[in-house]
Amino acid sequence: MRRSTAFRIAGLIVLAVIALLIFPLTNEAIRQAADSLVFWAGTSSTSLILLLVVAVLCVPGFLALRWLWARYELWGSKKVLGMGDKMFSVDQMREAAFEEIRALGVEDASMDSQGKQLHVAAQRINSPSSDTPYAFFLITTEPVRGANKNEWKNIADSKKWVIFVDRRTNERSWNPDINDWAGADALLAGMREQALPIEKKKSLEKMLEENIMRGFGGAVGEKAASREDAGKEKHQDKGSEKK
Amino acid sequence: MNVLSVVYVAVMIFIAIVVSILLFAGWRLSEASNDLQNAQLLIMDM
Repeated sequence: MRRSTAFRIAGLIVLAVIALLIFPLTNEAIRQAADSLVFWAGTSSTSLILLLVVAVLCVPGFLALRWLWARYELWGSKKVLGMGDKMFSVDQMREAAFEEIRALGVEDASMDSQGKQLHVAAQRINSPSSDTPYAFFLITTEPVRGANKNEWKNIADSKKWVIFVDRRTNERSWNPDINDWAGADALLAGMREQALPIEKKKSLEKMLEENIMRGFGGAVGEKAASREDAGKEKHQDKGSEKK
Repeated sequence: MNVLSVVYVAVMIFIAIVVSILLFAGWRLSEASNDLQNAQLLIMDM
């Protein structure tokens, strides 16, 4: 049995036991009903009201705990994001990305009440050279599934929501002045080209998850890079064998 | 309002708190399990 199921069942048992203990004390009619061991059949409206009140009180209690937990996770994700060997939950990354975007002054970024749906799309932009230690993320506040090339170009030109990641140090900066960086023009050109087309198979959410995982999760990113390299080598080997 | 009523309300609130915590614990565990599975899938994708 899974632990979550066990906790739920334990909750119901505790509720039932406590209810059985206190019901006979509260009302003469219920006491008689309990005595006759036809507890449920003999329940008066009082016991039903008690159950209803408890159930109704549980809902805000549960929601409050969940809200507090979300705040705690957000605080935690700010602390750990970018550390090399740390594993992040997808929600943590989403929330952190969302907060960063809000910090940039993008007020219309929004999430649903559960924080599951981040209405922010990210496209990882590889620099033209495959061995570069840098990675770019382009962030928009709109879904970009239907974005055409011009829209992407405008986003790239605005440079408003560009994240710059130095994979060697795992440092990142927001809105860097990439004109000051050598090869920026070539990078921008590469950004525009590689931003399109968006693979239809992958949802934007999936892309966001993968991209942030690769860019920020140092160890994970390195692992991915080494696998990519291994894949390339394998491919090259096959090619040379054919020759 | 007699003493019994106060006890009655207090007990109800106590039960609600206990059940809320248990519900929350169950939810957290199931979420953690989902997160772990998602993370494993992502790594396998890479």
